[in-house]
Amino acid sequence: MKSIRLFLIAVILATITLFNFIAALQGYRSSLLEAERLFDTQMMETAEFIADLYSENLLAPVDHAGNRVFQVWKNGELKAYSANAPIMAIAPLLPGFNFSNFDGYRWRTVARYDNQKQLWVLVAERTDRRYSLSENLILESFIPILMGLPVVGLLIWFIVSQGLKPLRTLADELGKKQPDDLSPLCFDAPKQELEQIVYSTNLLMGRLESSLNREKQFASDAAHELRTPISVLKVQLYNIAQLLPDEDSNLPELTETVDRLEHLVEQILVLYRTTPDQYSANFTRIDMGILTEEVLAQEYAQFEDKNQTLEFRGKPYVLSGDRFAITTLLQNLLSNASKYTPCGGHINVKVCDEQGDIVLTVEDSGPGIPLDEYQSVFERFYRSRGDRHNSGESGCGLGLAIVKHIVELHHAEITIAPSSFESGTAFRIRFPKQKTSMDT
Amino acid sequence: MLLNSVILILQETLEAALMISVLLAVNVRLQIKPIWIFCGVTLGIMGACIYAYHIEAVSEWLDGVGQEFINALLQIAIALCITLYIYWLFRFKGQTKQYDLDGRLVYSNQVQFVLLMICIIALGLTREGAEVLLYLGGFFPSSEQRFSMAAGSGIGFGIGLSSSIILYYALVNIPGPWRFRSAVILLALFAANMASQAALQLTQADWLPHTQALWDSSSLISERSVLGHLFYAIFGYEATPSAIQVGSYVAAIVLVGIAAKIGNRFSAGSKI
Repeated sequence: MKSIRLFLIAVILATITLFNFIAALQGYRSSLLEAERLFDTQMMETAEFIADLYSENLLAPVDHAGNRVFQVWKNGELKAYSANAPIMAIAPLLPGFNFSNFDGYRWRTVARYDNQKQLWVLVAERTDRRYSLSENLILESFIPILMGLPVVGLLIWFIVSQGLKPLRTLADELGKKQPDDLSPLCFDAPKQELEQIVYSTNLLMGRLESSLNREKQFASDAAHELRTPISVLKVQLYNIAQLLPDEDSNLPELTETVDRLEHLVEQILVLYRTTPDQYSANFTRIDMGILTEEVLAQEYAQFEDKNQTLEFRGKPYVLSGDRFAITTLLQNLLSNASKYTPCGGHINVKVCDEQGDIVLTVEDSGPGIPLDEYQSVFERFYRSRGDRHNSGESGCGLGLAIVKHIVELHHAEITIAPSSFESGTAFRIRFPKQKTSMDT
Repeated sequence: MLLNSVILILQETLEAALMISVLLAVNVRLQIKPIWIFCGVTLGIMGACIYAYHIEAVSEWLDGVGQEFINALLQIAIALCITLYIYWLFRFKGQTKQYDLDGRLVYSNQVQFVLLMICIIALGLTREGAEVLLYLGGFFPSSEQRFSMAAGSGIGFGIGLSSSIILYYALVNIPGPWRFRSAVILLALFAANMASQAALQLTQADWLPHTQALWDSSSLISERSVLGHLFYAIFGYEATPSAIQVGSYVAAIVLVGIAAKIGNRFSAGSKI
């Protein structure tokens, strides 16, 4: 059932048609019976009339050739008859109604015995004529039913459309809302059935807005508040390192943990900043090729540390984007690739043009991501195989969530596929053509 | 004339329309596009025109019982197609498509369902449509009671179509697994109905022995009433069925049951 309107129109119209037609058929049957009774009554009255009119002088055939025939029998002798009647008795001489066949037709007959004049009056009518006459009369009443059906259909369509109008208006109102618009629905005097929906939706919007504000405030405050003690901690660690002898081996691990903590806080901040419904992007002309080269140069140290081979292929391609966000995207993808590629591994970065779209590809020769985890890696704090792979790295699980935010911000598309190496993953981001055109 | 037209058109329309509405309801679950139903209907109408055009020649086949034989053949073919359709339904548990985690279509088993559905509709409409065309073609051009005939045909068609629309939405709105089960039960009854009608046709052609009527329920539900026609279309109601007809009916139900059982055995996955 895809459409409520279609369902309502079809079922209402079908029900009306079904019951109307069945009622019409029942009406037809009972009308036919009623017409039969009427014709029978008329025949009986005709028989009585003929009996009353009859006199011994009337012996010649009556010149009558209509739908009805009659005979008058007295003492077994045919005394009077209509010109269209046969000379044999048209019905058995038994009082009441009957059927008989003569003259190539089937006839309805009535026989009446007049006690005073001691004679039989027989009257007959052709059944097909009676049937045809009564059917024609009844069919007249069918015309409005048959002709009215399309009108009823149109009326139902109109009424159902009108009835569903508030629902459509509500759907339009909800559809028009921007992702960051959590203002209450402007829906004046909603219908009784929609009151609860509008009320609940507005309540939900309000709660969602305050919840988002709280989350926004919390993420921002927490990250900012954590930065200061972490910086202090780092300074103090440095001072302690200066005082303690070199063989004390616990300090480097402690420093590494504090670095990770700092990275996590920075990532949370970036994640919050790049959320599409929070971020006020500053779109400018960016040369994707040059920006990628710059970020590669900045991040080169981490590849060198792991003796990884880095290959870059690309030309200057201009797109409209947010420089800070795209830089973060590149940093996260490159850091991810370096992190999960073993020492001596390979990383390829490519920026190319595909049918007008600019495509950035980052692929590595790491262990790769299982097919069933492709969708999950973009979730916050998700770590592939729980970071149980042998990279030795334990990320904070926010890098790809940030990448996804930035991709959505640029209305781009990100796909994951196996890399062209023996193992590994390829991240492919396609910045669509229409979004690369300059707005300024 | 009106009543005769209603009865004939209703009998033929109701049977085909109810079958189509059940298949449409199953299609919702199988994710088969309704366009295939229209393919079946188009083929059926074409088949009906060809059959009706050659009906005189066909009637003379096999010593004058060609029409009965072809009708029985069509009905047996429909019953077998429905049986096979039910087998596939149970074989794939009503699931014809499988997607990977990215929502991409991995494989689809729709072909056999689409082909069988087109066969069922096309064969059904060929037989029933031919009878309607012969009736309308035989009386309409010369009849004095053209309006009464047209009104009767319209009423018969309207009742048939309306019943099938109501049945379709009733089936689609049945909650949970009973939606699918109801559709399967109705299809099984259609198959049995076809087998029973085929037995009657072959009896009329003297290919099967004449047997006595097992019962007479015409006083309860007349075959000529609207309810009688509805029951006839849904589960092949006859007021005075012969032993051969009842035997064929039961045999068809058993055959469908066996097909469902075999399909169920070869299937993998959750229950319907």
